[in-house]
Amino acid sequence: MGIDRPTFSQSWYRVADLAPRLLGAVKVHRQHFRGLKWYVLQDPANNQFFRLSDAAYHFVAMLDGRRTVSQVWRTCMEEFGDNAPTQGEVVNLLSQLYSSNLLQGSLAPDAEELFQRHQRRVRREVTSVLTNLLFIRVPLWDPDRFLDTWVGLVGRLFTWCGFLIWASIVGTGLWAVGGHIGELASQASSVLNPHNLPLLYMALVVVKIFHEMGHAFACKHFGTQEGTGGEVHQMGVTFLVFTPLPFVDASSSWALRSKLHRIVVGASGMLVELAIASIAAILWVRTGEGTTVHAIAYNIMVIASVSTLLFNGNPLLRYDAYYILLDVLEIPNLESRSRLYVYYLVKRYVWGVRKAHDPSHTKGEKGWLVFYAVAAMLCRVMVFSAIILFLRDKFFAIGVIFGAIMLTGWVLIPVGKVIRYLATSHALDRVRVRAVLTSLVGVLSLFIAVGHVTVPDRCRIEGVVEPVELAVIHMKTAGFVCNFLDSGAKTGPDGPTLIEAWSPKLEAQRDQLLAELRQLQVNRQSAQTREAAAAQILEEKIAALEDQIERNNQDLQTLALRSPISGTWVAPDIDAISGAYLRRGEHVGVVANLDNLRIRAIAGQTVAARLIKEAQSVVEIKVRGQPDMELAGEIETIMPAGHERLPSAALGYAAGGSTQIDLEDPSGRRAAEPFFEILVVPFLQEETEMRPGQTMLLRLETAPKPLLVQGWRSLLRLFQRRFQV
Amino acid sequence: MESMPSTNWRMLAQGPSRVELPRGLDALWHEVAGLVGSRIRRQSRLLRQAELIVSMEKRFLRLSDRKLRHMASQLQERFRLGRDTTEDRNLAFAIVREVASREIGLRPFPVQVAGALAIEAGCVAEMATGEGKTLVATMPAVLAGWRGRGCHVVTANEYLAKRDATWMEAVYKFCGLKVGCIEEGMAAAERKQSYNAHVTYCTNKEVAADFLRDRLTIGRLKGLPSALLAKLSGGPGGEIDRLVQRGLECAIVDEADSVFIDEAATPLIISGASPNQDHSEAYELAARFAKELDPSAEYRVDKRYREVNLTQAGKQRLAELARPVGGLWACARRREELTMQALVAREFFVRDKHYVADNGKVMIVDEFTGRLMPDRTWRDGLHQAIEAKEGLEINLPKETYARISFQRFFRLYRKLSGMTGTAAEARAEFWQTYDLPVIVIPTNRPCRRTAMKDRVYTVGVAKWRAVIDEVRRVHQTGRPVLIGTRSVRASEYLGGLLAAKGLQHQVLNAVRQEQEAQIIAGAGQKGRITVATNMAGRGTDIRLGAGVAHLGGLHVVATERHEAGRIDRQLYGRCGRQGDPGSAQAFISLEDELLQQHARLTSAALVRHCSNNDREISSPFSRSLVNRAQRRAERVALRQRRDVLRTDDWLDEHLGFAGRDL
Repeated sequence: MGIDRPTFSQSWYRVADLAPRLLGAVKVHRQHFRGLKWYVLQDPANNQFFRLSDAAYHFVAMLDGRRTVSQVWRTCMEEFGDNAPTQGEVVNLLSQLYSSNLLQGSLAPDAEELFQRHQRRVRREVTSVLTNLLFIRVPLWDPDRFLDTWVGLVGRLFTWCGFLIWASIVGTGLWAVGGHIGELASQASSVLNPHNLPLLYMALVVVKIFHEMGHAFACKHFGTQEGTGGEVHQMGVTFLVFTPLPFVDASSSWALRSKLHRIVVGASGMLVELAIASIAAILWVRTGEGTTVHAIAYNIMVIASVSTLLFNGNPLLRYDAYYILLDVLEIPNLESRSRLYVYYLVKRYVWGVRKAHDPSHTKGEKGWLVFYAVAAMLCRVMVFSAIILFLRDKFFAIGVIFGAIMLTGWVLIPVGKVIRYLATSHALDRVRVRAVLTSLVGVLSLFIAVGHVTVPDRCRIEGVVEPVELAVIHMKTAGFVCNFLDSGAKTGPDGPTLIEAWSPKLEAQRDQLLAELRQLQVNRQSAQTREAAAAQILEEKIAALEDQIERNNQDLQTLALRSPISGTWVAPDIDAISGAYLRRGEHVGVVANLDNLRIRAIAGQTVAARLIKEAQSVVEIKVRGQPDMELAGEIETIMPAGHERLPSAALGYAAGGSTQIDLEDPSGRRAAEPFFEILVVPFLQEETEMRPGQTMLLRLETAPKPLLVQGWRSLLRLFQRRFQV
Repeated sequence: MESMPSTNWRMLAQGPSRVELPRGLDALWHEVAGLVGSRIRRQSRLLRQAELIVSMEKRFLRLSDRKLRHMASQLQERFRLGRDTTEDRNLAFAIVREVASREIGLRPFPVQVAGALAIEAGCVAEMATGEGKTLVATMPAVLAGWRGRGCHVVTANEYLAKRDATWMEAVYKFCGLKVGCIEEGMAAAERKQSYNAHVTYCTNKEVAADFLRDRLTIGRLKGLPSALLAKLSGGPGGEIDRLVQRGLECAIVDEADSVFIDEAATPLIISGASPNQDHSEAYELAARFAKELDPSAEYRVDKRYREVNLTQAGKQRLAELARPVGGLWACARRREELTMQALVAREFFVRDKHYVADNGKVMIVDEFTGRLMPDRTWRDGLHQAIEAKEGLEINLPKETYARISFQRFFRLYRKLSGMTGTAAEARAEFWQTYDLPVIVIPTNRPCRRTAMKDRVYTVGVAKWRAVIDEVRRVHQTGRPVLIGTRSVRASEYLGGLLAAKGLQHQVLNAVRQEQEAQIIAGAGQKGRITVATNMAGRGTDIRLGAGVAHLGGLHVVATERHEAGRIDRQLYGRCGRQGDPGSAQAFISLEDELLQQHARLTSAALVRHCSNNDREISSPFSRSLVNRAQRRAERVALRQRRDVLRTDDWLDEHLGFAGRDL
């Protein structure tokens, strides 16, 4: 039959003669979503909710324990015509209501069934915990009475007056921070400093407790105001990626009729946090740097603003903003329905199933459903990959386990389900060939995209800038510095002297030597006349003395040092040595040719191996700390492995570089693993000024490879490194 | 003082056992256990035990009837108390053997005893046709009878049930047991009596229907305490006396594959008149509107899936047509449903092919067997639509009271076993659905049947010509020929062809089972030609006439392949029974239903390839095409049966609140 909703159902006979009714305690709330009327049933015993369409609710409402299901259905059919629930829908509805424990009446009292149902529920909860290991919830406390006591007081904040107070706090906070943007940024780098983490975490917990209390009070306040109760019975600890944080179950806000109230309940957590952040900001500005209060205030400010906006404020994750979005868009169950809608689109238009059931209720929500499904999927993938990468780096084993769990839960199981669906579903009986073919084409094109279309294969390495021509200037002769060239001046072999010193010792020595020379010359003249042999000896002495004088002269001359090469004189501490005595061989500075620089980069085994084989010689260069500056260069040589001493300590972990260093080495220049050195000559551009000693990031491009190959290679490498295979 | 029979007590107090199929890892384990179990060769052990039992016969040969009876009653006591041992079982089998030989002149062969042992062990015994399964069943049935909780021997049709019950009655009687037999149309009191007998012969439909009716009664009683109270208060306590069965203890199913598998595709439904339903005018109106719609523009007919879809124009037209009527017709969905049903009735259901209109009633013709099925109706208003189309008085649709699938029903038995000629193919299904291992029992004498290769033809005409030629050729040698057809129409068509060639023959259509059983029993006489549908004369042996064995025995010609290889094998099994010679061959055309449904494209391509000649195209390729189509059909049928079971499970899980549907 080509009918979308057949009127009759084969299993009707099983429910036709029953006369059930809704549990007396069930509360019913009417709500409007996108112009459609809906009824929300609330089971006060366990605070569970059940949403019914208008027609379905009328059906349920007519069940009073005396009329049978079939009588009621007939009445509904007469009254609502096409909109009345069909027999099949009634059967489903009753079974759902029953399994939510919302029905009572002449039902078979089957204790065994009850226990089985309980067991099924427990099993479902356990599996949901197991599949959601990253987000475990442990309820600890029932805050309802506490809230009842205080809601009268705290509830006053949820008024226009309260909003104004809030706005002024936030405004003041923003204004306070406004003038200190620079400090804000400079301290930001130290937030994730290991010493700071316990403080950070403490601040997080405190802020989140206030956040949750915000939800709880808002829920309670509007609940009592609207008369729905707004009960909040669960507060406890949720383990968000193993980090214990507080949570509160404010799901009774779903019963609120006013959309605005629901939104406020959803947003109240964030509002509270923003207020806290503002107060912390004011404190931070007012306190002096270095004090504990200052640090704490800074942490609280960062957490309460950044984390809130990043996590709670992201509607693609199932946190506060998601629920706010639901109410703003008026699309309940957005996430699951968006997924169902995408399935429906695939079924209907890709596979050509004509009878597919469209889960959207109104036209307007279709676009939202598609958009949300795609965006949320991407976001989830990104967040989870980030979590896994983080875990991988910090706790390798757990990271791998979670990777495996996610791979199973997100890839293998869905794929298995799709295959099973394609193979056995009756809905596909007529279009199975098309469904299978289109799915295969989809998978194939994905594989081609990932496995065949090549994308540039890049890797990043670090290096330091060094001049090709470099002269290290040492004192050749000890002396007192009397004159020097300022650091940064151009110099050359013919240029000005770099440093001039005077050495009283050398000068005294010279005077002495000269005096001795004269004496010897006099002696020789007198000896020449008397005895030739003695004159001969004196002659030799004079020659020796002249040698000494010569050396002394040279030494004196080298007190004024000149650069052997042309370049720039670099001697940062030169001012300090004016007049100081420098020993022979003491380092004074360097002369470097800054027009001719190169980069000495270091690369681990894996990268270098690839580079040697297939690297293009042109590399992109970026200056660390100046991402807007872009340079290019060319690989000159790749020097073989075996180096262990870093060309600069800046490349090591200790100084913020990315190379692991040997922890026992005090200089911080001994790498944990031997590396290759790669010399890169940059193409010089006029306006860029590279400085020797700068750390550079080099992006090397090797021959383009498919993503699949690249991903596989890095996975293998990861395991190889971990397990030494 | 009021009393309640213990049988009813037990039924009410315990309720039926749980019957869910294992799930998840349990299901995996179950499957592995089945795989391992099927590897174990139990055959030789059973045969050794059977030899042991046979060797005990000397002890009884000289015994007087009285003494033998005495021994039997002593044994019965032990079985009744549940203190029986393996030795007791062997002794009991030996006694039954002796009793059978004294009372009905048949002494079970060792293989028959082995079969009985397999059944007693709760397995499906595969025993070739003609090996005397009826006799085999008596041995475990006697044991079950002695245990005193009832034993249902389930057969495929009523004739067999009655025949077997009468035939074997003497054996049971000698052992101190009463035999009952359930027949269609029996009153409740008679049924109750029969079910209370030690051993009850019945058909699967009757026993399941009685079970369902009992459940409906029990459902009204709402458990033992309220039943007892009702009985005490003398109120509607009469209800309890309406229970006819006494619980499902033990069943021995003959033709297990047809009962457990072929008939399991459709669940059994008990229905009755419904007080308030759509008025009959609605169907008449629908038929009238259906006539007015234009087949090209207003609705589309999808022949492949047998459905009709209204186009947008059709829907509008229908709305216009229905506007003056109002009421039910104001509702678009209901209106379209009714009209579409009427269109389906018009487009797809042909009088005298799918149904006959007789005495102002529409009766369904079973396409498979060609039999009329007066007690069955089409569902979802289709039956009424056809009645409206034929202008007959409309019988309003009946309402379902209870429904059970045979899979579920048989799983309710505490002890289930079966026997059949063809079980090995369905080994996996027997295990998965019923927890029954299959044991293949060898034949008493080696089989001398020659299976000849299938012959494949492009078109039906060529096939029938070849069948006639083959029949004539074999007939001239004097050998009897049995021609199996799939449907009554085919058998009648073939009968006409044979008559045209002047060949004397008899046609059996499984309509009057008793006479047909006699005819088919005589089909082994020299020179006989018998045309029979697959169902005709099941359970009856074809004994060869004098001198036929020398000519080569019975020759079986299958004119089509069936949806399952098992059914083909059942037909082939008609010849070459008990070591007789015989031969069997199938004639197939690419136009056969099996190929049309399950290998449409390939066979169409093959026909084109053969440039539409009407000739034989037997080749390994064409044969494998047929086999593939058959395997595919088996898979489809299996999936269908799984769905029946799954529907059951779904209903159970989600409608548990409405009482268990058992």
